[in-house]
Amino acid sequence: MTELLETLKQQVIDALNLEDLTPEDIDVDAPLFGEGLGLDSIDALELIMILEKEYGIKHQSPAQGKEIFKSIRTMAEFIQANRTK
Amino acid sequence: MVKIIADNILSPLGETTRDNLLAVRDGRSRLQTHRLWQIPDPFVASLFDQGQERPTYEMLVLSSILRCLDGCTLSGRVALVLSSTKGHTIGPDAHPFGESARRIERLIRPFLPKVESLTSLTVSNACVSGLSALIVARRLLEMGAYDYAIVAGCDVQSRFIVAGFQSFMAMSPEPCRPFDEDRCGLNLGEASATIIFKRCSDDEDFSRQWVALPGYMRNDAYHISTPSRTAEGSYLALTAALGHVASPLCISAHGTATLYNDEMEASAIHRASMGEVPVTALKGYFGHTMGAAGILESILTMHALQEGWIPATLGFNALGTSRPLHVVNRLQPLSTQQKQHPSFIKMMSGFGGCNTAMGFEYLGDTKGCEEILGDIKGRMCSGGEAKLMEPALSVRITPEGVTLCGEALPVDGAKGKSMLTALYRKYVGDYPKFYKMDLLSRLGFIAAELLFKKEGAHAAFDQSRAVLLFGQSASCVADRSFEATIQPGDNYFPSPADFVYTLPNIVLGEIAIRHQLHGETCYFALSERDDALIRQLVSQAFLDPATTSALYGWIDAPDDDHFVAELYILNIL
Repeated sequence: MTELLETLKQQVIDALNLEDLTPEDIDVDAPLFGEGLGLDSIDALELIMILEKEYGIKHQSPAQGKEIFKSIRTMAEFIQANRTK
Repeated sequence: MVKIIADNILSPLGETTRDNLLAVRDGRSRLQTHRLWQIPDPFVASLFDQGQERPTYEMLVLSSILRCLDGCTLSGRVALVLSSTKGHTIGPDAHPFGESARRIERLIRPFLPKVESLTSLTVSNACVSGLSALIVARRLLEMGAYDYAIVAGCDVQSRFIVAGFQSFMAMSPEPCRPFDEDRCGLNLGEASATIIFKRCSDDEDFSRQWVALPGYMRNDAYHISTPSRTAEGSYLALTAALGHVASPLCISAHGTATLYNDEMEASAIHRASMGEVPVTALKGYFGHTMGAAGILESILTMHALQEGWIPATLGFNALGTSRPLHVVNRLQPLSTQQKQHPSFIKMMSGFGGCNTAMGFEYLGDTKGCEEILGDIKGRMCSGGEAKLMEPALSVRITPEGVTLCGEALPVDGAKGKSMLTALYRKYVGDYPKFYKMDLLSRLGFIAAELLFKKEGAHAAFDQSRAVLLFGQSASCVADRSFEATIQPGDNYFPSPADFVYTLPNIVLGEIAIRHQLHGETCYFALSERDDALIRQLVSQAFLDPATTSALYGWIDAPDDDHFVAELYILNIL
């Protein structure tokens, strides 16, 4: 799990161009949207794309995404339970 | 005054305006499920026949224009104002966006023997392109720069566009349902549509003619792809346009059938106290025809009203917006009185946060026509050419360096694309969204930032500062980035973040959001840099009475090593 959390942090930084951040800056329990990293609706769609591209998890609707993308940890938990690669 | 002397709609439903009008009257649609272009998932769209020879963008534009020219003779100075989101920048034989205008200009020139001069340009303002083009063309005539304007909108669908909208999860798996409670997204469509405007002296005969009223563009300054929750830009554009229309018989809405667009439009209409006015949306017949949509839907609404009916909103069943709205769900006949003198408002909203609204009014028989004409004139507040000052501030950015108001700006040895990041770190630093932007947006963002910083503490410009950018290569760097995410085979992962920047007007949205500018924003693709034409296109923006200042200039980024931004701030005298 720890390894997945670290990999995921770097993937999120790369995919969302969070250039001023390093994995150490990201708290795995902090909210991704709103306060926390301040991501927006396009970022949410990119996160859906990470799930598909890196972990073979297809077609999450943005509505489901709300629960999945609460934090890096919730995202990692979802990946662990559903990954196909 | 500007009147409409000819029009054409060329769509999968027919080759003439009449064909398309009858199809809409009879409730026909060409929206169907397609499996095409090696896209993994099927999609619903309204497409021209998928024969061997797919018509190109230029051929479709030409066909529509020629059908329009069939019954009228143009003379004097003519503006060819094209409208497209992508032009011919995708697929085989693609070329720089700006070049299409010159190619089409050459193709139609032989058909305009009495024309003295033909000036061409393309408006590329995402989904609102068509209405933006009509607004700009109308003003160019109003200020006397041209005698006629041919306004032609078109987009061709492709793997590129479909993959992009799928990545945005914006596509409905079934025929779209504008404003309906069960709506779940848009359908794409192909079409080419043309309107010819003529500048008229007041004593000309206007009986049985449509007059184009002043239209407005307003930015949400909220988000580059999500509409404002308060419908700010749409509301501002709508109320401004309503100032010129006495009592519109209907509103021809954008009505894409995405959750957010329709909700936002309902809010705008409600805020403008127009909740009782019938609203119609035409995407259920044609799909979202992008660059053609504003022109096509204006023509269709015009002819339907003239025939005595408001088109039904195909796909609509039960209202699904939080604000009450009178959506026309079956063809609504007009009363004899309404038929004599119909008018309507066309609305559009799109990526980049730009919203538009424009009125059209029909003058019936000669009897009573003069009275109405006088009434329309009374409602016109703009007119005449604004007296513009020389630009107050200027900035020039190239890979070699930066000049701000004539003085070189130190960039600490940074060159090329990385210089923009160095400039951001040195002069901005507090706006991490910068890192998400494509090259064109970074360039425009930094240029605007330097100018506004130089200008110092300024009053809130709100609606009074227009942003007008001109270029040739449009969003080609972003186009290549997005292409790389949609390769066939195992590497097909279309990126929504890359796709959004494949619209060249997104840079305007970025600037508007950063500086809270709610005024006019518009991107123009030109065949080459032409300062006289740019000056003219800046002047026309000042015919919007709210505009007292403009940020404008040439911005072009063909690749990472070649880019230029030469931007100015100019104020009204």
